[in-house]
Amino acid sequence: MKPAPFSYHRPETLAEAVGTLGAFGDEARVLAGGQSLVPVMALRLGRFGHIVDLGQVGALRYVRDDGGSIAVGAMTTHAAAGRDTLAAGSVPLLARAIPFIGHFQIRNRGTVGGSCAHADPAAEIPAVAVTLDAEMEAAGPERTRRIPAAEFFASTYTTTLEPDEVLTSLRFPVWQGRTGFAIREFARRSGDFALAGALCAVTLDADCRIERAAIGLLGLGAVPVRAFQAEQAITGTAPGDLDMTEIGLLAVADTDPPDDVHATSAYRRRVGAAMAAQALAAAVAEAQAGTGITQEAAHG
Amino acid sequence: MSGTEATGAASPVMAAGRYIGQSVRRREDPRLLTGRGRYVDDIVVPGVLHAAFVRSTVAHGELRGVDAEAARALPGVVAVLTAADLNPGLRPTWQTMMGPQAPAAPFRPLADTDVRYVGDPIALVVAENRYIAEDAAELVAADIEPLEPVLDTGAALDGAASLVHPELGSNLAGEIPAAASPALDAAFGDAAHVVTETFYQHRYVCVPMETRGLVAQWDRPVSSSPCGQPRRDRTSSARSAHASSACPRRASG
Amino acid sequence: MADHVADTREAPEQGVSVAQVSMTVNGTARRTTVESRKTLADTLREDFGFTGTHLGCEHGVCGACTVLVDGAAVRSCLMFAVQADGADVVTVEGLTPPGGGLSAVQQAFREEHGLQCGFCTPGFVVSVTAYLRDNPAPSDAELRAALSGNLCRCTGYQGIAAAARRAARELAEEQQ
Repeated sequence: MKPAPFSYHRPETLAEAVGTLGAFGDEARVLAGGQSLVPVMALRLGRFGHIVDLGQVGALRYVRDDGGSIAVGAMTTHAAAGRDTLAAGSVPLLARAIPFIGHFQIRNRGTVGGSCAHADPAAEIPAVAVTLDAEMEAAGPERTRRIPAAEFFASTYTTTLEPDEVLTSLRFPVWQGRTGFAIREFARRSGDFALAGALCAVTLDADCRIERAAIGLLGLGAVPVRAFQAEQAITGTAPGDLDMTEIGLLAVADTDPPDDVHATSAYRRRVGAAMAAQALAAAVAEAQAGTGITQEAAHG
Repeated sequence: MSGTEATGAASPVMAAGRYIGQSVRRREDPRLLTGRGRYVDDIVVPGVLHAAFVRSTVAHGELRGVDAEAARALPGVVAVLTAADLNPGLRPTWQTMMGPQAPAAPFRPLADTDVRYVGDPIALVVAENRYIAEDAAELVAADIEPLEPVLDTGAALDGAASLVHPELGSNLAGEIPAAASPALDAAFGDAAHVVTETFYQHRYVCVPMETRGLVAQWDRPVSSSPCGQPRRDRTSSARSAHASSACPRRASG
Repeated sequence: MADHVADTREAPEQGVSVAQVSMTVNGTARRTTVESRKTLADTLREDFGFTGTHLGCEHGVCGACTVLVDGAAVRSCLMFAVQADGADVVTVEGLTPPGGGLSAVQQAFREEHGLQCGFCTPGFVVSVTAYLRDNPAPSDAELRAALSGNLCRCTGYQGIAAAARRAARELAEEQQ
């Protein structure tokens, strides 16, 4: 299966890339790692007259401390982000989500920015971004703007990026204190898109009660979502008082995924509830073990 | 085995020989492991053309027309064949294990009046390379009026379903009677409990990683991928060679 | 980099539909002119004659097309040749040891009957070679997960898993 013809652009700077997108509007598409876009082109499910390859824009590949956040350049591959010690120490949820992304060959080319711009409902990086209230930075012809993750993902394969904007970085807040993080997802085969998954971040206070919790869900809607009801229900509680199974069910209560060839709606929700329960239990256990992040570690 | 034990001497048939009873290393592995296999797509024939099929995307429909003009006009396209171009020149050939009177789906290399399954070939595009062949395939416009498909065996026989192959007059391809077994009938008759169940089994198809393909040349043996059978493919291709009269270039392809 | 990508028929700001690309393939500098949409896989096979890299699915699922680009195992059907301009590419043909014969990974596949028709094999060999280079002591579960990016229809995978385990063991022994 061969792609349809296209005009290829290989800008060397971000400004060039933005300019090219502006010139060709809807006819142009950014090529990042290509692990999602090229299959679409090969199957001729989408065709684009102009392809703008960001592969030479080195300024978009980085992981750095941004004072309270870790900024990851959009063209950073999943593999590079997964190996990065700063990211692993400061944003453990990101490091733990990456091994679930496809297969290692895909992670060698696929990028964190590309994954977000593609916006598959079962993708891991978008779910990490939504769970941690990350900020997406986008560069357009007139300005650079920051978009909260909750406002970035609009629907299946749809973001709020303008046609002439390039996603340049993701900023993940660093959680402080006695923290724990976990991701659990279920796929029939290793590397498949998950039927459903849950991501959890918790902080315990000095009395070991849940001070703060974030529960994100993937595969249970058109976009990754937060289980706000469940988060509120557990905040302020002692983890030992919680029935994780009940919390898992509460977490998926508002979701309504469609039936499809892979699973019924009911089954996805059932799997999602189990994943949420397991992720929350694991995150709590880690926080209780006291392996929290301190300000020092974030700079280490 | 018992002969061996009884006499104390190994029967010549049972003795481990040079190959029998041994784990014999394959001879082709070093070649295959180092990328020196010779698969269908690896065969280089100068000037070879590539074919792509236009196929039905609906399971059942009336094929009202096929417009291949835009496809034929694409640079690099050698021919676009439809049923009118290809079918008359070919004679049916098919395999069956059920004898000469066995029912068979009607022979239709390319769909003419209707399409009968998703994937039913409608047009054959021949071009200088696969990229162009796929570009041209996209330009072929098939006008299909969807009809209700027949999707399972129960529905096929209930009388209300449309005929998949009108030429056959029935959706029943054939019946193979079970052998009579009075003993079995008696066993069922005497059983304390008889359980009936229906099991659904997926269709099992040979789908090698190489997929399917063949390279055909005028007056040369056919090279084909696994699940192809060289002799049958040669016979089929020879009959298909009639189609070459529809192609302006006959030298290869 | 920009001067490798040239098409005098079009104004540069319109992009190029045909380009000259240069890359090192199995240690030798190679150059060719391709459509921008021509995949790295097709370019390696047709322009450079390295037919050991195979096309199974052409949409990034089966792994038969796996090659190394700048050392990393990637699906060459999901890259355009223009993206590999200036890159160092290694295909299965480039894994032969300097003295000839079979590499440790290739030998392990032979010993453990890790192939039958051989079509998926180059993809597995390249993937396993890269994986063990970066992960010399994987657990069995990690190894199985690493193999999951390549599909095989003939073997049922047990011979392949055994070959990967054997290669890991033998490479680790070589290191000592």
